Amino acid sequence: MSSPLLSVSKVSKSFDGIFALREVSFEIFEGECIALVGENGAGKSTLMKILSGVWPSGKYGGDVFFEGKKLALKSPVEGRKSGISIIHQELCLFPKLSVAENLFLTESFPYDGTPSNKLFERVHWKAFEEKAQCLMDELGFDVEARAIVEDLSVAKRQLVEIARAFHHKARLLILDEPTSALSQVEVEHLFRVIQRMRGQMTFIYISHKLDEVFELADRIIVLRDGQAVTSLKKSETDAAQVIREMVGRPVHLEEKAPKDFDGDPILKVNRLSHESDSAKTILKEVSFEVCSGEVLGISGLMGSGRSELLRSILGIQPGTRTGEVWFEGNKVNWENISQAMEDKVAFVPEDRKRDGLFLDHGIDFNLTIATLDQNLSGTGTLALSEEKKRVKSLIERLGVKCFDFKSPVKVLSGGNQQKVLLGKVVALSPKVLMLDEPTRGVDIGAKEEIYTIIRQLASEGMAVVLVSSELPELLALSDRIMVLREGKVMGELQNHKLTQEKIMLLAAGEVNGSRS
Amino acid sequence: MEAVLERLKMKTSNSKLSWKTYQREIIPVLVIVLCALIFDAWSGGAFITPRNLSNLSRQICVNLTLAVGMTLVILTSGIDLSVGSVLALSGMAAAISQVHWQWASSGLVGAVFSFGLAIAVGGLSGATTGMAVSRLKITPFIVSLGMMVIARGLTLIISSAQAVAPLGDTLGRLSSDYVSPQISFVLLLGIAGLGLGVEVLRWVKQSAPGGDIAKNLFAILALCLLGIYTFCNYRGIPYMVFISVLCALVGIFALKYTRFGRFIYAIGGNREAAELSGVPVAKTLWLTYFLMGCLAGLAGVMDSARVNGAVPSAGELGELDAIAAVVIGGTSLMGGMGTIGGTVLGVLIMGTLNNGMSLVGVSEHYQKVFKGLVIILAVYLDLRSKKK
Repeated sequence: MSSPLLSVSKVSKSFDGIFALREVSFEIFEGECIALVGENGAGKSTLMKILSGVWPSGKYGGDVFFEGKKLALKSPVEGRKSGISIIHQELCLFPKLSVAENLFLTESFPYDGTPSNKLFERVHWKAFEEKAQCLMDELGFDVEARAIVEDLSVAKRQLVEIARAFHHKARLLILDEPTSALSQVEVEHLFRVIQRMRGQMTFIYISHKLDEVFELADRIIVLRDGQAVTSLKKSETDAAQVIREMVGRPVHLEEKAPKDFDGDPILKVNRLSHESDSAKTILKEVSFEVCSGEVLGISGLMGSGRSELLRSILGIQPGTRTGEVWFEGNKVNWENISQAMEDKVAFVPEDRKRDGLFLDHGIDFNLTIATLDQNLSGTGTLALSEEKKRVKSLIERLGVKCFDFKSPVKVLSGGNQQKVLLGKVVALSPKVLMLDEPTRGVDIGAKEEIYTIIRQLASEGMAVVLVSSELPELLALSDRIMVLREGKVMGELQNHKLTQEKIMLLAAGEVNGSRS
Repeated sequence: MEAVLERLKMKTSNSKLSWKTYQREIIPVLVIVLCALIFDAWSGGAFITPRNLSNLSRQICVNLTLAVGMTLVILTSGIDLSVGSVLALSGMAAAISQVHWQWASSGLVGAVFSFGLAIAVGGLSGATTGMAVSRLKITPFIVSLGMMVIARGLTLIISSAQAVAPLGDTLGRLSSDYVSPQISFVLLLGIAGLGLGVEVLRWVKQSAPGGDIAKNLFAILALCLLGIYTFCNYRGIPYMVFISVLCALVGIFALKYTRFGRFIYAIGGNREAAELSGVPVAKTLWLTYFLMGCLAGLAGVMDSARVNGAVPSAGELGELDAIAAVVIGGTSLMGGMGTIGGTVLGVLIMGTLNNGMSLVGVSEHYQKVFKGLVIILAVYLDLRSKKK
């Protein structure tokens, strides 16, 4: 092979002094299919953002060479023009527009088939759609050019993105966890598409599903803690070695001793089903119990209904719910968070910036907003000095690192923000704590601290329902793990001699678990 | 952990008076002082006189009352465009009760009832707006736009598009009467003493950054001295000023020391998060619009008292003056950030410009152009100071 298509040379990027990437170097040759693997937080997405121009050149250290030239992107638009296209986990399409419009909209406007930059070009709809259909047919994609994107399945939307990248003459296509929302059949179809297009494009395939990686890739590049630790040829390695490189230490899982939780469950869910407003089934006959002091993990792929289950129980999932929820032996029907909070059931939502935090407000504001009734003075007004004491003790208890508790939470690191969010509900001293992805986007050190807090809370007698997409997290924290797939319970596993593989098999729907 | 607490302590006790921290309060004050000096020089010393300042204080009462409510609404990231029309409707209701229903003849009782009627009318329309915003979840802009037209229409209907005048003497005194200079003096001294006491206590207990305390001390002293200069040398504190300043003080207190106030900031800061933190979003929003309506009603009766009657066109563009004062005062239209203290400064800037330009004889048409420019400039400057 001659000179590499893409050459990454000593690229570094840090946020607030914490390195997300540290002198990463690797090379990719024309026509290869590379798998990029690494744990969450290993630096995969930061690297992608550099390659796609989200972080413009100059904002990171080191150099990237593409087709022999130094890549100096100023914006994502330039990234696309340079010949590198990226397909994100959350697809970047205009849902209300047609496939044809999505294919051609973001470049100049070739509305009659020839590109034009005029703002007031007449749209030749017919020629426009025919051209889109041609492109789809040429690629062998079974997608109607006139269809509205939001009516398409996720798999077909991905094809639209691939077609768009192809149309933009992308020479390097990066796929970021493309299969997380696909069914098995759709995954196979996607793989056939990738295999077929390998003559025309070079692929970087990001995934943490090793079976897919081994099926597709010629070479596997492993990132760990922001460093490119190794590059392995598929023919010369196996899954065990890749995992070892990813984790960087012998995989040692703390064996959770099986504990007996006898006594009545504090929260009991009986045949809970949920339909969305458009009559789509979100949850189907989900039943589970959790006792005080127990941590119940809930696992499942994207779209399995794991977050929706929590939201449905709390009455904040749109749509209609059937089935029963029992709390402390009483049947309850919470309609909003306030009602659940009155029963001392607390919820930490998954997207902390959108649903959890008041980013412009201080740490103190965020910590106390849910529990203001605890610091009322005799006259019903807020006792600010009392409040300050509570804030101090919460900050201390959760180990939030900050200089001033009035500083806005948006300046805190992800881990500290997550601790503030936890602190807010801990202040409520809940009996049941529902956590949705409690460590998303949190660095490894802070993760351990949050785990310690959760373990501490459980040992104090709190029942914890933990939804997570990270299997190591579930294995480290849970007493039991319930696996969901497409809204149904696939199995419930005691966390004893449990492995990631066992959970994945259930989540992917390949075996039926035994209910215990 | 001790290290963290140690740092916390240092931070609270070591805060210095820095230009950066307080520029958003200092700049408006400087602008006001500068404007006052310019107008005074230009008018040959007619601006800074007890008589003119007393007039100025009466002119800004209506806007201050509206702007206090508008601050709450905008803090929730809402808007209420109906307040000008609601002001007209409630002022008209008060005038009709005085003139047509002859409540004027029952003296103080009649005046109190008319006063109450105006607030009730305002409260009712605010409650309606609030219901549509909080329960039906219609955008505040649209709801209040509708309510603006409805209230204006109702005003024209109940008044048959005629002016209604004159009010009874008792209600008219709301505008024309003053707390006597002696009592005013005692009141102002009392307020100053109380404020000083509270701040000194906070300083001793170190419960607030030193800069904040200095700022509050400065504000209290400056306002009381200005008040004594203005009111004790000219008839005393006008009733209207007394009422609207009371509204502002209650508003400041409510935002800082009640759950309601905290909830308002929370809703404006991040509505999703507020909902998921158990904040009673719908109830808080409803109450906010209801209070805004009551304040518009109060402003309506004050406005009627000021001109001793009601005209159907009263309060036109009143909502825009109020919104302008709020944003000049540094409250973000996105909600969540801002204070009534800032709004008071915004009202003062607008009032100073209005009064000063009239005093030096700038035509009303030019005044409008100039005011518009000031609004845009103020918001631009605020935007820039936030980015830094």
